[in-house]
Amino acid sequence: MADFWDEMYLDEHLVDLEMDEPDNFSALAALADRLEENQCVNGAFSLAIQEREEEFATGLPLEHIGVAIPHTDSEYVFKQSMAIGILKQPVMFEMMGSPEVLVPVKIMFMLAIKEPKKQLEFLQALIDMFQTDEKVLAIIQAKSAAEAVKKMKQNLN
Amino acid sequence: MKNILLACGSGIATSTAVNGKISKLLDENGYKGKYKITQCKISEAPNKASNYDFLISTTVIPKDLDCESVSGVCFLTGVNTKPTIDRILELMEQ
Repeated sequence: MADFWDEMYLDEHLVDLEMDEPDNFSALAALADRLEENQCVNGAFSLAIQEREEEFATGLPLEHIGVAIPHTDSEYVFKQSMAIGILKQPVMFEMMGSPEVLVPVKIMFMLAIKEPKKQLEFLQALIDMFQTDEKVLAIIQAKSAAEAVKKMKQNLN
Repeated sequence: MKNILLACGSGIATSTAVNGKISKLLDENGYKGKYKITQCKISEAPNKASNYDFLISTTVIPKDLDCESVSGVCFLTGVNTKPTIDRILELMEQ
């Protein structure tokens, strides 16, 4: 497995395969709560990530699927980690760089980054995965949170 | 030597992710050692722009910038990258 996983925490407690949320902000709050419950971020992270999304949208229309990569400043982060949230029904996110475009997002990769400069390889591997979005579909089709984690780690290797 | 400003909302995640893609693109097109990429927050871009040849941004580009600019979002999605790549290579030649 790639070395960057030593510095990027992800386990099945940070995965929600069946999110049922009416809109992007409630989906962001629910996934941020999961990071907080697992002592990865502090109590201010959730609001910060919602405010950041409002100012700098993170929806990305990949070839076959919409994803979002919400993130915010490192000051709210205890443990460098990521949470994965799969929406039963896609919720609309504004597109990164083009907020007038709405992207139906099926899966969120929420990033709790502490040291961005050390995350170069991880972030590049993440966007490489986006460019072969069948790999993202494989995560969405996982039958369990543990399987989703396994697929994610296989994808970013 | 081209000075390229690379901006995203926070200067944290997406500009870092895109940096490698752009460096690879430029190196493969014969510009190795002929450019310098500086990452910043988009809010810093208007003040910095006049010192750079062009800006690549993964977020909304401010109006009235003192340099050329191009969106780098396609480097995140991998969708429809050709017009952006052509534009960047054109800016490298200017």
